[in-house]
Amino acid sequence: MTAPLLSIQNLGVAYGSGRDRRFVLRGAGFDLAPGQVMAIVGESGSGKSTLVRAVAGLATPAEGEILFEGVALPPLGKRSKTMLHGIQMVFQDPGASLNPRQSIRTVLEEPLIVVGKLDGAARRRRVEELMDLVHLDHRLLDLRPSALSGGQKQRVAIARALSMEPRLLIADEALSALDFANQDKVSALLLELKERLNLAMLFVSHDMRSVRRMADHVCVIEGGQVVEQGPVAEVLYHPKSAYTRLLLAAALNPAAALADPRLSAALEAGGPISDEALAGVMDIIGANALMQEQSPS
Amino acid sequence: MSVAELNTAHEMVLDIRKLRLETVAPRRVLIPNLDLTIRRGEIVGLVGQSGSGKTLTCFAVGGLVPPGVRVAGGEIHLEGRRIDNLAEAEWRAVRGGRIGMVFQDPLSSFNPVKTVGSILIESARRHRGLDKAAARALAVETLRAMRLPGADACVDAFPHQLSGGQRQRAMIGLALINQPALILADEPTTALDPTVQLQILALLRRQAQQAAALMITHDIAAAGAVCDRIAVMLEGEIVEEGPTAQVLYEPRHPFTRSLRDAAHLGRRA
Repeated sequence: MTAPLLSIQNLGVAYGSGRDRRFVLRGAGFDLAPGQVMAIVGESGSGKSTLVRAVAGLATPAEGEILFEGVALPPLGKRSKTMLHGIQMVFQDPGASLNPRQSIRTVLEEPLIVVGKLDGAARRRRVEELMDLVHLDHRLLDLRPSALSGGQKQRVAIARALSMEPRLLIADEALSALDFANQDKVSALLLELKERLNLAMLFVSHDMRSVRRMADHVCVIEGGQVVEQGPVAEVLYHPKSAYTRLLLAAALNPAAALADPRLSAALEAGGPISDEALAGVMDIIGANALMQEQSPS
Repeated sequence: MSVAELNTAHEMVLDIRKLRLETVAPRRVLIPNLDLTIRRGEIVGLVGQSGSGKTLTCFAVGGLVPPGVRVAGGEIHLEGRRIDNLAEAEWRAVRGGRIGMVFQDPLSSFNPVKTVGSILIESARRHRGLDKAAARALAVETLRAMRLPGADACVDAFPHQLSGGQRQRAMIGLALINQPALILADEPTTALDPTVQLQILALLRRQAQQAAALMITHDIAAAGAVCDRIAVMLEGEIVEEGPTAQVLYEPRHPFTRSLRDAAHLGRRA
């Protein structure tokens, strides 16, 4: 068995101090091997972004440890270059994560200048290589982000993350701002990069369709607690928690979910959904075409 | 007019005939010629990508055509009355009265400095001429019917104090408080989490059955879950229209098929 690239142990994150201190995530733990994709799934406010932000150094753990390549990660300011370069992040809104006043070339070249390993000619070659990696035309290099489509902008954000040759890529809702067609294309690109570069990923999403396509493992978070985790085949095909089952039904066949009278009545009323109301949900999930494709190993 | 025709006319809530929308200068046709009808109790989905003209159609029905765009032809009838040529003062009685509206983002469509209840109360007083106490009672009753937990407390809550799902329940309550003939819902679940989306769709389907509804969405799966009929819009035109099951499972137009395939729908429910 390969040593894990990332090992999260009993991770807890709290915001506020004194009497206002509140844990937004507690007891999270899993290992991720090199080249594997872990999907982090949960509602807004569940703590899924907090988990990956702690890994990226953007939130400070109150409890537990995060090991990257066998070494405990300190707060952001104390991380070594190996750690900083090794973990890169792509955010939800590519419009907001690219500087509108910079050309795409500058966006991609700037991190290379900061690192300072390459001379001008080598940097230009590397920028073109990065564009090739994400299948963008070199002619886009001299444009500004506003001239690019949402899908193209997200590809630039991915290329910028790859410029540091990371071993772990964090994609925090990186597909959510894109339409269906672009979601499929960008998720295909991420899968290709994973294979080609042996890139591990933390893939934050509540879109079960892209989770089904992307992930090797799934971690479901609800109210700051991990409610289930395991190989994608186990979690998606035999979901244990009510939340996971409901999320699958919502994503895969909302019509069938609303056609079930007990489930529909419970949904209309809001609040927690009982096991009785969810009794028919596995049939709904199982009937979906996506779930009938060859199950992932 | 025969008895049958009279009955049909009575049942017809919305009748859009040969609607044409253009930009004013330079003149550019946005919607060349659009026909759509909705009967009482019916929920019709208008599905398409951004820029297809679906939201513009919805705005035209609500008398909210944006500046620089004009209705250049055709007619819109609501409950047998022509509304596309109403003056703004007349629109104010229709909007919020005979037409209730639900928008994508309830946080930006509620006034942040007013309580949720005061917005509902204002609408009920304006359109129904109720006194303060009666309007407040109606607001609480409406929020309760929207299954908003703690409806009595929610009346005095500010929009930011509610969750996204609760706000959308309140928004649907605001749309329904004056028992409109037609509900216009523009991407009502797009900004919500998947499980909350499902809750709001369940609520909307139940509530819209008492009136009639036009639901604008890019999500054909969401439309499939609540609509009786679906019209698919592409570049300003309806390219396919029919009963939901037919549009989803026997699509005729290649664009409908691509939307359907991208949504990975399951077997026929």
